[in-house]
Amino acid sequence: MAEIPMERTIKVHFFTGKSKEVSVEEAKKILEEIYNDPLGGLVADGKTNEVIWQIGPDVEEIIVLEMMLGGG
Amino acid sequence: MLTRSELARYDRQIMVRGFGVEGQEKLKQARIFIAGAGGLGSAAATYLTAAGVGMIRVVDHDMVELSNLNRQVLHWDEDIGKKKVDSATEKLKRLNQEVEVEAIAEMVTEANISQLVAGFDLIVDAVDNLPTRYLLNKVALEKNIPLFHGAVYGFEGRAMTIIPGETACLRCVYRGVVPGEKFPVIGVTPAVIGCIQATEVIKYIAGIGQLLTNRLLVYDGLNMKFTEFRLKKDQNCEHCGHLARGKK
Repeated sequence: MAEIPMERTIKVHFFTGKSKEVSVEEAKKILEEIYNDPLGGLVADGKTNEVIWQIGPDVEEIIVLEMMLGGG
Repeated sequence: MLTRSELARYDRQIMVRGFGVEGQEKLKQARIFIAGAGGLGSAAATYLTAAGVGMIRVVDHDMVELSNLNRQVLHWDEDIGKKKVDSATEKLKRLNQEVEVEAIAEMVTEANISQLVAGFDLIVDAVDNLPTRYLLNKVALEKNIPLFHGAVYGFEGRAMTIIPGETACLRCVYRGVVPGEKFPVIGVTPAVIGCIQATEVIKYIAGIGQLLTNRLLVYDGLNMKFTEFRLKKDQNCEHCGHLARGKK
């Protein structure tokens, strides 16, 4: 019997908060929202800690950092 | 050349391997522009003054308010209602009379930024909003002045060092256009980040150690962890992309 291929998922970690596992499409949407939202922040590859602008084929998990506002 | 008094005052840092008298003399020659006399600015300016830099220009247009005092340690109860730069300058001068401290009570704008930073060796970003950070980033790139970025929110803080034309700039990292607004912050967070900025400044001036370039250091005080995120220079960056392309 042929094996049913598992859908690729991405773990999403919010820097100081919760984590969740989502589909690649959902992860791409999260990334897009972060970068399109003026209140957005940064997304990094969870394994390399490199800031990324797209979900490449090697990305297994991402870290979402929210925008940093303050200084005073 | 260092005076006998300066040799005594800075004795402990002169003892640091790789720093020495040479590092101290370099600090004495340095002219530092600090944008912001709030939480980050208080910490960075205090330690740079204590360390014996040559000259500091502090720019801030705000007045001291009661709600500043949990974190902006250069301002005290008696300073409420005063200009922040005056309050900061007074304390810094008392801390170390060897350091020339200059106060400018102006808002940093596109119109005055170029003139404000003229003649300075480096810029410390201690402001509280992104539009002004972008102005600092642009002028740093235009004038080839290193920029030392810091930001805080709640228990979290960030820092990175930008060497124009060589490393990722602030615009390579941040794309947002968030205006300044009232934000929550635990008093010690800007102290941690401001001291990291001051450390980077001292290392840069002395020419020692590894700078926080192409790396965004994120401090999470709530869980007490430091995480480093690797950054790449964006070849299409609207602020620094032309510098990268010009180098090819």
